[in-house]
Amino acid sequence: MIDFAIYSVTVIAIWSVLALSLNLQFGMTGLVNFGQILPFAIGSYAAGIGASLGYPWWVGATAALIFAPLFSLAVILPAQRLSQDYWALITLGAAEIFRLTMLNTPSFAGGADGLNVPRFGDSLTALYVSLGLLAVSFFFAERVSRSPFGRMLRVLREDEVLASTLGRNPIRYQASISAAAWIMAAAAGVAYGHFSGYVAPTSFTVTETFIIWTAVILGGPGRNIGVVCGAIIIQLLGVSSRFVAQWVDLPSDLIANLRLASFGLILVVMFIYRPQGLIPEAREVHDAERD
Amino acid sequence: MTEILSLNNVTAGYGLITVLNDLSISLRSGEILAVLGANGCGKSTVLKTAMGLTRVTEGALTLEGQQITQMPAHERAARGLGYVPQNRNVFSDMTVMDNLRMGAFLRPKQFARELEEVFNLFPRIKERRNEKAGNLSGGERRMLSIGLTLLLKPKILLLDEPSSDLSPAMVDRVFQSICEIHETLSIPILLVEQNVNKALEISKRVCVLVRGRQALDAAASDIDTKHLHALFMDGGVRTS
Repeated sequence: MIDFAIYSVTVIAIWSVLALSLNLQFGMTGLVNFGQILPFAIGSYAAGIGASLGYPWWVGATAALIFAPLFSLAVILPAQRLSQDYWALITLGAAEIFRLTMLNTPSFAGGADGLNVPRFGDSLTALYVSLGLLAVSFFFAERVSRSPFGRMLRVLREDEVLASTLGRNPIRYQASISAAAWIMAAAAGVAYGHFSGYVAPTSFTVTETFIIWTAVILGGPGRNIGVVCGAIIIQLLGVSSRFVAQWVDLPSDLIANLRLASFGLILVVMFIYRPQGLIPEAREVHDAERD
Repeated sequence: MTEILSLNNVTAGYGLITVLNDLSISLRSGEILAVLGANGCGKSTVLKTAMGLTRVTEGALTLEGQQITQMPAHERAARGLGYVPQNRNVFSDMTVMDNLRMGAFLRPKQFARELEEVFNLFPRIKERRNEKAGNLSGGERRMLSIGLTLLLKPKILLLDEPSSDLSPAMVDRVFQSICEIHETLSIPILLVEQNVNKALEISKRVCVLVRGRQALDAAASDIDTKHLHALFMDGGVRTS
């Protein structure tokens, strides 16, 4: 039972980092990223490929933290003149291109069989690393949220065109926050790779992006503590479905599909009844005291 | 008077839709140029094109003799183009003060002093400085929008229908402020307006558009409103 609890908390911590990463992009800045799993996959594959080439773990981790922001710029810069709808499609396409590339390059990335990644020494190490990563990510996201830079991100979210006519360069802000968010997600990917001991294309499908989105929408876009709570609830639902499978006599495939359906239901209910999420972003009226 | 902003044979629009056809307009220093025309003729698109918010397929734009055709909007703002849109012209979720801070982004050190100038021009904005911009009336929002654009210290003001959706009394106040800005700060103004009488009252020169093309360019004092009606038989011009 303790092992299961440690496993669950580790998974929750990793997915919370992913939710925080998406929140920086969508919640604060309004960037609709439907390929959020891409930087996570970059991190995991960097860990796996680094290990397969015989390098120590930190080489793969460093490569992940370098390549993730570069990928983010490669995705966001060509899309700068397009609307958010297109940005969503481009990120979705980029994530699929990466996954299919990994699937079709067995000599480099293991193909459908995937790659082995050296595991953390023990489950407690994985737990501490994941919680440490979550703490750093949360601290960073909060600092951004409360800074003038964070306020500017919200301004862009509200009206990008008006901000640009006042002399702000939206792309500079969007590229900066995307790069930071993708580094965060890539770090989560590295931790996940060493935690699970295995990376394969099946772990990085559109479904995973959908689960991250569900956590953000459920918790409250724009609110860091909210999206962490959203990730906790979603992952608890995920791990608890194993117990449901023991209680009811249903095939495990069906249980897995029902779990996804329940996430979809959560999204629909939240969009209709509580679009601001369980813990909404504080719509502060800035500086009333200061002036 | 020297030409400060020029659109030379510009064809521009949105996506695949062309709105302006081979249009040439010049704003000269020290003048208010009114762009008039029926609804849908492309008046607002002139300002958006000047600001870099449309797709220019032909022609060129110059600001003080420098090419700006491919320049993004934020760089045009930095070079002195101050654009006041008709709609969505303030950040509704932010306070009046925070909106004004957005205008001071490029020149933060002068904010306190220049803020007073804006407050002198729009005392009503000072009274409501701690309220959310979304709670302001239409006229107050328009004043705030002009105020935060003035904090950019623009060399040119691009005003998009400042009288729309305002009561007659508020229209008078806004136009009075526009004249004051023009006279005291000596800023040339490119004004797009539906209210022909008001536009003719304050402008020096008038350019009339018909379906994205220039149909008339004349001194405001020479304009005969009957001639305007003849130009816009399809309606959309308010002369009273």
